[in-house]
Amino acid sequence: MAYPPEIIEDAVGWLLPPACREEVLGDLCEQYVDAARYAVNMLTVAPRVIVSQIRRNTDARVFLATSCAICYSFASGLADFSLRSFLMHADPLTLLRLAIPAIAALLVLLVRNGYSDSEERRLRAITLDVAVAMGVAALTQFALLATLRFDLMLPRWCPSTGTVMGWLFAIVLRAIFPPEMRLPAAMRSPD
Amino acid sequence: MRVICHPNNVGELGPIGLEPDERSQPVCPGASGHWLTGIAIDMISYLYYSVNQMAKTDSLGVFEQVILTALLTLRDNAYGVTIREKAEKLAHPKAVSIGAVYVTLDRLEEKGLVSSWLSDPTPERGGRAKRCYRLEPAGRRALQEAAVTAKRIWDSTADAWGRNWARAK
Repeated sequence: MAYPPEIIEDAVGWLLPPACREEVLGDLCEQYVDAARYAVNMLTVAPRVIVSQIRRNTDARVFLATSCAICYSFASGLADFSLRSFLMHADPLTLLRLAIPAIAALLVLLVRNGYSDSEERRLRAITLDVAVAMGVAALTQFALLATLRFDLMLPRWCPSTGTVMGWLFAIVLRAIFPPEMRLPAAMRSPD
Repeated sequence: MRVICHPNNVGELGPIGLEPDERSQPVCPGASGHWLTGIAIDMISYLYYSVNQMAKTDSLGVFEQVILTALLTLRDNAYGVTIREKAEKLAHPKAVSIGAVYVTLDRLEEKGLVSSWLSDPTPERGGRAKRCYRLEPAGRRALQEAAVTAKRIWDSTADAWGRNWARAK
């Protein structure tokens, strides 16, 4: 009986969310014919199961609260910031400047939700997730600096204060409402 | 473009990003980005509503019906590979990818229509376990309702297009 090459299988296993890794790798192994078809199967399966796990583990209300907290963190660094004034008068360019790091951080948090594992519900893992997300948000500012898009960069201290505040807010929110792993019948035998 | 309007429409601090003397000028909220904030808030509300509604939807999609039917016929041998093979037969001539099967099973499990468990590892799967699925009572009821509706549609179309058409299919 033919089995997929171990190196490809390890790579696929690393890519798949831990919650469904075992059965997906088993199914792909059972259908194995040759390496090329295995790779095609993997490429069609992996994105779908990742998105499915993200959808499953993400609570819309918590995500919305995290989005607001991160946007507020970056906006609060603006000179003479007032929430009311901001909501009433923010111009499109200001919103775009705020959206770039906020969306980057939120995308990282979403992807991390897909890879959540019940064993991983520790403050250390949550802190690391949020640190990576806010690090990516900060990196967007460096990327804009490197590509000389100064008009899209946040002014002065906004990136640093926003990163630190967003990190704190997001850690608190994720510690109180950790990404749920809703597998009601997982690991349960019918007997 | 900034539109000067009635002073009563202005926020206390004026628009951000403006010099203090510019802020003293009354600016109409609707003309300088207020609409964009409104659209952003509307979009977030819509997204929130859609995500919440998605999980609450009671009716079954066609592919969900196919997967539930596959589970019904496969009984104890229902796992990823066998479900995909059965679903492909049911959905013929459409091809069914295993990724689509996983996503649908995940959604059905979230709705409480099916349940799953991990079986013992087997050598033909490289020593990996299978995730087996079975229909829950709610899934049976949903499938029965879908089948009754499908039967009514079949009878009506057969009446309209003739019994010969129905037999040919």
